[in-house]
Amino acid sequence: MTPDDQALAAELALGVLDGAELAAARARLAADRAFAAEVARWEEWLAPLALAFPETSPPAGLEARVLAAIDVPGAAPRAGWRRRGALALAGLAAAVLALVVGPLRAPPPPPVPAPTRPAAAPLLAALVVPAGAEAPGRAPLAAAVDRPSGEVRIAAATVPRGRSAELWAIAEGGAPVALGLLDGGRPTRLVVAQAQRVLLRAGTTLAVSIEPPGGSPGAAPTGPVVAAGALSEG
Amino acid sequence: MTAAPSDAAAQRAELVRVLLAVAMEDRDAFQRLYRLTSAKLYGICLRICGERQAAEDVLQDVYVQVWRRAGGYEPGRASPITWLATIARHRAIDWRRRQHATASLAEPGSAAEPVDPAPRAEAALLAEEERARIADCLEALEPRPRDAVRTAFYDGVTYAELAARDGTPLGTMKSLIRRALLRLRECLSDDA
Repeated sequence: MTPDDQALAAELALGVLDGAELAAARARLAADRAFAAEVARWEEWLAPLALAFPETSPPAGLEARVLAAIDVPGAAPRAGWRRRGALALAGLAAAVLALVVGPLRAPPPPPVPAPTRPAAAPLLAALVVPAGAEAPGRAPLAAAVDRPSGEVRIAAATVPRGRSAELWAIAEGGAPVALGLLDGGRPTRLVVAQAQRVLLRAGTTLAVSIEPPGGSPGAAPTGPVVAAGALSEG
Repeated sequence: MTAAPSDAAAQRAELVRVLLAVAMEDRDAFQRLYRLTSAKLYGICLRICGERQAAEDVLQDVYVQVWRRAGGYEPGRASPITWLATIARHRAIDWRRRQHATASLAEPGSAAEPVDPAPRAEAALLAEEERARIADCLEALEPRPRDAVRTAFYDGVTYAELAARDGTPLGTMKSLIRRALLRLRECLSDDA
């Protein structure tokens, strides 16, 4: 990274570029990881200045507008398991539906009788790329565990062609236990076997490894761990 | 002083949790995120756009982006509010750039109907040590480059606008700011 590169990254973060210079800097941002890291460094340095701008409450009506905007088709291009889940389970009991569609927060007062069993707090984990394992296509993954159903949901992961991504649970001080394979390129829902649900608690690490097709042939990960993080109370 | 850091840490942890839930497309969490952060982000949009209607449109766009991109938030890399503020600032800057593209002869200094003519960037609002660092490093610059960098940041303006406002040739303004940025970088990466 030459001083010129450093200055360009700073100019991009500061926001002084326009026209062709801006387009070129953005293209470089997309293609050059070292440059992107330098820009990120500057964003982090500069952000506190923006955070010191006086807070101003937006008009009251804006919240409804914003909430409506995310319901517009195309606002969430990722295949949302909430919507897919809602469709797939439309015929099931209201209590189960509530767990799938709105498992992370108590649902608003429903038009039908409320579920008799309150949803247990979900467990959440941010699975980050371990130091030294950074590579194109590897990104942090969010995961959530719905304890009553034993369901683990993981954001879409990039899986190399011809390989499988396997999810592991590692209790504190314990050995990795395979939970299942991830769907490449889209969010995954896995229902953990009853016997393994004891692992789904705060402090357990979830990890994703890249394995031969079909998963690790043995009892432990064989490929690189591309994301890992501990579960905590949501 | 003892309460502030732990409050900040608790707020950060709460925001990380909410953002992760948003990444899972949790609509209730999204609403909570809006309620926790919209005053902060609207303040940023308003400061840079300089007018309320535009700031509202940009803010809406910011939250749609956040809804789409929350899965890309990396808790280990940036604080959640930094991540959100960066999206808001760049969306607001993009809006300004588009304004300029459509009204290419905008008068210098016309963009900001002065919503807050006295930026309080260095006022003690946040307990984060990074804030002190950027403030200190800016303070250490010569007055002229310091003012230019501040104006660029606070008003979201381009080199061309900066040069026009200052009555300085474009090339001179560019090298002034570039030198200032490299000096800032030295200061910011010190014991980082």
